[in-house]
Amino acid sequence: MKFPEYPTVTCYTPKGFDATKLPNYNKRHHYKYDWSLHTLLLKHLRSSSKFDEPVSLSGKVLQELFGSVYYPMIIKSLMDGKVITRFNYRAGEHAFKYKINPHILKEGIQAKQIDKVTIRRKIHLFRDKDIQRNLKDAISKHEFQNLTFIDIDVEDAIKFINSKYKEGTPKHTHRILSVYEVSRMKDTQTAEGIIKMDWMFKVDRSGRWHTPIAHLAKDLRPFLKTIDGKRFVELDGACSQLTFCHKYLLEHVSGKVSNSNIIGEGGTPTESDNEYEPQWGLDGPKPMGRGSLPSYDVRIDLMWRNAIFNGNAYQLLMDGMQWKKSRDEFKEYFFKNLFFNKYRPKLTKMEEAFKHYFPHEFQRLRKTKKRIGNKELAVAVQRYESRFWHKWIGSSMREKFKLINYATIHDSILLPEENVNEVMVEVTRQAIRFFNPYDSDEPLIPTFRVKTFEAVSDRGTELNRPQK
Amino acid sequence: MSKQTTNSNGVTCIIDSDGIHCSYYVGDDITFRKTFKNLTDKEISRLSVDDML
Repeated sequence: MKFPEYPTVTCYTPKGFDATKLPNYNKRHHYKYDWSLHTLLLKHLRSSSKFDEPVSLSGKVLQELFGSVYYPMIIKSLMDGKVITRFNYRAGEHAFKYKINPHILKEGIQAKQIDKVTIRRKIHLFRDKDIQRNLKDAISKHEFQNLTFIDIDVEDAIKFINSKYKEGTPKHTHRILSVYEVSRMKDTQTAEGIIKMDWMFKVDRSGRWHTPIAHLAKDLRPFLKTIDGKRFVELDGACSQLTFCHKYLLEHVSGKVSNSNIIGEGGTPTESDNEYEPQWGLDGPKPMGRGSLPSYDVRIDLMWRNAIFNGNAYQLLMDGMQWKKSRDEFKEYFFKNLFFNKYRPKLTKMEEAFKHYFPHEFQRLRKTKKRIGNKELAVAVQRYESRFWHKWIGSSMREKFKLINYATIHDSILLPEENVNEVMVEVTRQAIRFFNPYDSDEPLIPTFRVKTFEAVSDRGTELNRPQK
Repeated sequence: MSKQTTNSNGVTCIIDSDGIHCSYYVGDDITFRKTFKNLTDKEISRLSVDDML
């Protein structure tokens, strides 16, 4: 039977391992021995005791890959060949752990390409199941397809990495690997409804897409290009997290965001304020048609709202707190000590300062953290953000800019430089809709910026730098 | 050799001989980073923004 071409799969095995020397070696199973050992090796590396203690093996996954008949045969061969040892860790049950024997690991580890089509096919089909689950709708499919139209200047990127990072350091290694991973994206193939690919694709529970592009180090973005050679620029929202968080807090702590645009701005919160529930009048809830006035009071810190939508909120706080270090250091401090830190009765310095300047936003933030926890708040805000970029903007890209290549990086979008202006108009239009679900005389308008990758023009200079 | 994995909370871990290098993109160009020496598979799968602070 002839299978369609599947990209090569890389696996890692100990250099001292030679499958052909195993007792009962079967040539047909050659790559199954390698893949079993590769799986076990990764398990060892991820365990706290590294190679000292036995680890459990995902038998189900391997059985699905190799077939339930062959899986025990492969494991038995590896055990009989003294490559691995099996331990029974739960008496009376077939619960086993395995350990790679130390003598096999003495010579180190090597990367191997799996050429056998049947194994490659099985591995790809297995990965495909997970991908298909996340690519059910036409918008996601369109965005995924666009990822496969992206390429990278491998040679220039590698030269840049070698000139800037010391070989063998984690920064060097990870960058080299990610360049190769991006370069494999364009080799993605689809046939008979199956996606054949050898690169990471995962959607987390907040809806963010984790792809080689999203994980590519920033200093390598200048080397990205479309498959027809166009360079990218990045379009992102200023104070993006703050705007999405503002919307989330208003919708989940104070009722509907639309109402906050109409009334009740200003004032000082009191201890008796219960901002979880709308402050209904004596007559109870009233119908909330368009333009009708709500009967409860949502208090907004106007200065904060203007600052986040104008994109100068961090600067405002930095000035207020007389921050001496860099802007990025401030943002990190801000997120760690105000937005995504745990709820604790005692306020951090950052919380004290924020409460002083913006008491209403602070109260909403604090109450939300107390109610759902800081972890869930981070996920909830990112869910808004990914909904906007992957669904709203994704839909626009599919309907209005079908031929423009793009990639979303969590809270921004990469676009060819020549197309960025027309897309920016649409992104702003959609953002106004997103942040103003009801008509308003003074709609909230987020600020978007285009970032060019300066290193492109500096690449020559960067490449000439002496190795550190 | 290194292996990369991303859990459902959006924490990405790169596992190599030096340890487990984790990163979490918060937003607005800010990424929290931390390197752990020892973590089990289960611990990796449960990492969240909390562990990155």
